[in-house]
Amino acid sequence: MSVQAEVSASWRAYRHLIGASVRAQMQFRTSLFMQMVASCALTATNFIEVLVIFDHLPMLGNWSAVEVAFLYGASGIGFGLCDMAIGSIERTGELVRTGKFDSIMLRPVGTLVSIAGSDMALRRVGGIAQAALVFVVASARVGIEFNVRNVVLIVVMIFGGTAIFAAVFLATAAIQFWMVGANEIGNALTYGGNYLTSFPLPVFSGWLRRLLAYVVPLAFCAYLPALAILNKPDELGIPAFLRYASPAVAAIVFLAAYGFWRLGVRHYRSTGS
Amino acid sequence: MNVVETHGLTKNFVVYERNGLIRRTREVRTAVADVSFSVAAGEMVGYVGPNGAGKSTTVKILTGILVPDAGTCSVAGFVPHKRRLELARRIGVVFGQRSNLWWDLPLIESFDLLRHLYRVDHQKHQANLDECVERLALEDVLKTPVRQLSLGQRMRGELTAALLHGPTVLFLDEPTIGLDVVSKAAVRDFLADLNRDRNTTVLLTTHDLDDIERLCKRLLIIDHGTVIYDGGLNELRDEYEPYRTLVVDLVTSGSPLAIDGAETVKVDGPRQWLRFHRDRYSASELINRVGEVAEIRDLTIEEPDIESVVAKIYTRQT
Repeated sequence: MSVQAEVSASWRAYRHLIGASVRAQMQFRTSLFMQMVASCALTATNFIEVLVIFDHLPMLGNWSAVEVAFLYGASGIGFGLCDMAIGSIERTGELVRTGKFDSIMLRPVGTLVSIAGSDMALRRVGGIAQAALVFVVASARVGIEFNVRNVVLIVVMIFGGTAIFAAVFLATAAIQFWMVGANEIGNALTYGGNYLTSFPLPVFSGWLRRLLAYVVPLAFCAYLPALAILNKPDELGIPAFLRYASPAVAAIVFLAAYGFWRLGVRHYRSTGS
Repeated sequence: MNVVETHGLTKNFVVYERNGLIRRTREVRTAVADVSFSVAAGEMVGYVGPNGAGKSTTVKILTGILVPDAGTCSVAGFVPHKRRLELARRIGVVFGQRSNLWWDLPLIESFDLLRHLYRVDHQKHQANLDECVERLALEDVLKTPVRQLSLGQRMRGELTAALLHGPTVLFLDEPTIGLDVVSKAAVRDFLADLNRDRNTTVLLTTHDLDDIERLCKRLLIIDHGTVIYDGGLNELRDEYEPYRTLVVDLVTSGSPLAIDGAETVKVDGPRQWLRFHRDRYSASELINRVGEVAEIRDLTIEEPDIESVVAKIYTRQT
């Protein structure tokens, strides 16, 4: 099967799986609604935290509150979309520990598609809506021109962020094939990473900056592309072309994480019976 | 043509044994050692062995879940762990302790979803579904969410789910575990029909030797990771348990009969149990001899049950 045919077959399988997952969640409508509200409230608290910090420090580096809200919104949407689409792979460790991963491997569908599609977190709609609201308001206030260049850059920033977060999710899920209890480390990188990306990079100390720019490249989720959109100078001397490198970085890290995942699947040992 | 073939299949697991809080020792345990066998198209083979013998590990290698450490195997023409996705379309798997159904969805929706995942043509799917629903009497529970099904209903659902794409090989791991007598019989009848009508090859792993006796002509016994018996069920009985028992109901109770060629092993009132070697004496010969010394009202001949035969093999091994 050609790569293209394989991708389109996987996409179809994924759509059917999330369809089933949505129907399953719709069986418990009230519970789903409450979870959406909770998700919205949770991300809103993160945002309030950012605002409180700005209440005390009117400028953070060279960043104003509205600019940070812009970053927060972009990173929140990117992360929320990713979490909703493939967040259920954080259950990998649990599936491995109980041996339920067996069933995943018996389907004529890729393991990643099968797990990612198994439980689409509809409740994240709440968080995404909150981040989107912040993003729209901040975009209007921050004074960017809505020309073709900026609109393209915004779309690229959000989906590039989604893909980079997805790579982080995938890599931390893959670790769980070796270390079943590693999902807490995973959460630190995924949810923690999302929190970090709502701040401009210069506020962090040197080693964390380098980590976020070059190792776990979360700086490409919001900070670097935002510099290009907001037309801001960079205080850190990061090469200017990297502001436009999000899609390339996203592709590289996602493929690397996927390779790591495949290695993990090969390592799977199942359970006793 | 062989649908399943293995040569020298071996799988080791590394286990860590904890001694104390932090210290642990590494140990390599062999789950399957040098297992070779083949199953021809349309055969129904029972795969048995005590707990921890390596049955599930073998099935997991054959279905592509585990990568073997040594040896080769092929299923439906594929090397399982290398061509897992293609293989999945040609095999059906039912693990008694796992589910392939969607817990919160009605049964029929799981089936429909599987049609899309396996990319089965609509007409073929419908034909297979109708047949399974009729034979397994699932009509009334199709709209019930899987979480509300009884174990027996769910297992019939699992079987259907494994067959909708028309697999050439069916792997069943304890398909009757925990089922009541009626459900067990329904599942067994269904499997026997399936094998006869569609020529589906079946590898049946079970602890329930009634399953085997009812369904399989051939038996593979595995213990400590190696195949220790591969042959017919009747031959197994002949080889390991050549004795049969003649049970006679006499008109009058009395002392144990002393018949040449048989040993009276039990007496209960007018009923007596006489054990004899199947190759040396025929049952009719023996009945005649009993008839000469006592008046018989009724009689039956008991074959050794397979359970005790297999138990004998397990203990002989250790």
